[in-house]
Amino acid sequence: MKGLLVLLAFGALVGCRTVRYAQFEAVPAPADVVEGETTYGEVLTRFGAPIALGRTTTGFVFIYERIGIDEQALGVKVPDAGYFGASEGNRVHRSTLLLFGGDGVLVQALARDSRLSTGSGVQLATSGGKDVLAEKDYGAGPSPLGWGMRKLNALPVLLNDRWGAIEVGEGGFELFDTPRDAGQHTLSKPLPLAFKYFNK
Amino acid sequence: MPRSLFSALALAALASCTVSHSRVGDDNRWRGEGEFERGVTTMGDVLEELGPPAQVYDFREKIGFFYMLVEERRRGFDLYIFKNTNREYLTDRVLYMFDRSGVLEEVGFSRVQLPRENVYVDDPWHLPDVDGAVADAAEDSE
Repeated sequence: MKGLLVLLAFGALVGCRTVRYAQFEAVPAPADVVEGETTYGEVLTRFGAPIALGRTTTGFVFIYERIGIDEQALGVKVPDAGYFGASEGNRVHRSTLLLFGGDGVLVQALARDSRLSTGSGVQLATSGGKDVLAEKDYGAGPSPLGWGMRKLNALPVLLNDRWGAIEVGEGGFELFDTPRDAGQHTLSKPLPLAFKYFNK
Repeated sequence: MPRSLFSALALAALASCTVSHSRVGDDNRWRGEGEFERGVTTMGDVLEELGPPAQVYDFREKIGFFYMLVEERRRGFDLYIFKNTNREYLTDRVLYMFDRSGVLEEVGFSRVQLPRENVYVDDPWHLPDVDGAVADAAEDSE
C-alpha cells in the first residue's frame, strides 16, 4: 500500500505541456519581383507593410518575418524545490524576407525559409522548467511599440537592444528570431542564480 | 453518490481553460472609410487624422511614418497534468512614405487586419477570426 501511495504521489507531480506559438502573419513569396525595376511602391502594394524597417547605405530595408513554434514538454514538478524538465520534439520554423531598396527601386531581395531545432534536454530548472523550452528564446517578440519602456532596462540589455533605441533602424537591423542569450547579447543574459547568492 | 459521478466531478475540478487577448498600440483608424491620396496628402494631414506614429524613419530621400496595433491572443486548456497553450502575436500595421517635401508618396497596409472596434466587450469568450492571419502555428512547423 505504501508503495502505491508513493507511486501515486510521484504521478501527481508529472505533467506535460504543449505550446503552439505564431508571431506575425505568413511571409509573402518574392515572386515577380525584379531587382532594379520593381519600385518600392509596388512592393508595399503587393506585400503590404513590413514588420520592421531599417536604414542601409543603399537607402532602406523592409523586413518581413514569421516565427512558428510547436513544442511538447514533459516534466516532474517538485513544489518549492525546482523542476526536472525534459523537452523533446521542439520545432521552430522561421520565414524571412528582406527587401533592400534605394532611389525608390528594389535593389535586392533575400528570402529564407528555415527550420530551427532546439533538440531536447533534462535538467533541474529553478525557473519553472522554461529553460528547456524554445518559447523562452523566441516567444516574446520585441514590439517596436515597447521602445520607451525598454529604455528602462539594465544597461547591458539596453545597449544590445536594437529595438530599444529611440533611433530605430539607424544602427543596422536585427531579425526578430535572434536568440537573446547569444552573440552580442551574451552580456544581456541574466546572471546565474548562484552568482547572485555568492556575491551578496 | 455513484462512483462514476464522483470521478467526473473530481476530473472537472482539475480542468480549466484560458481565452485571453491583449491589445497594445494605436487605434487602427487607418482602416477607416477615408483614404489618404498619394501626391496630395501631407504629413500634417496624416498626423492630424491618426496622431503621432509609433515610429518615424528618416531614409534621407524619404520619411516614413509607421503605425502599429499589436494583439496577442491566447487559448489554453489545463487538466492539471496536461497543459495546452496556443498563442498568436498579430500586428495590424501601416507605413506611410513621404518625399522630402512632406507629401505622401506611397502607402502599405499589413495583410493582417484586426477588427476596428473593441469586439470583445460584448462577447469576451469569442476571439473572432482575423483577416490575413494563419490560424495555426503548426502549419509552419510541419
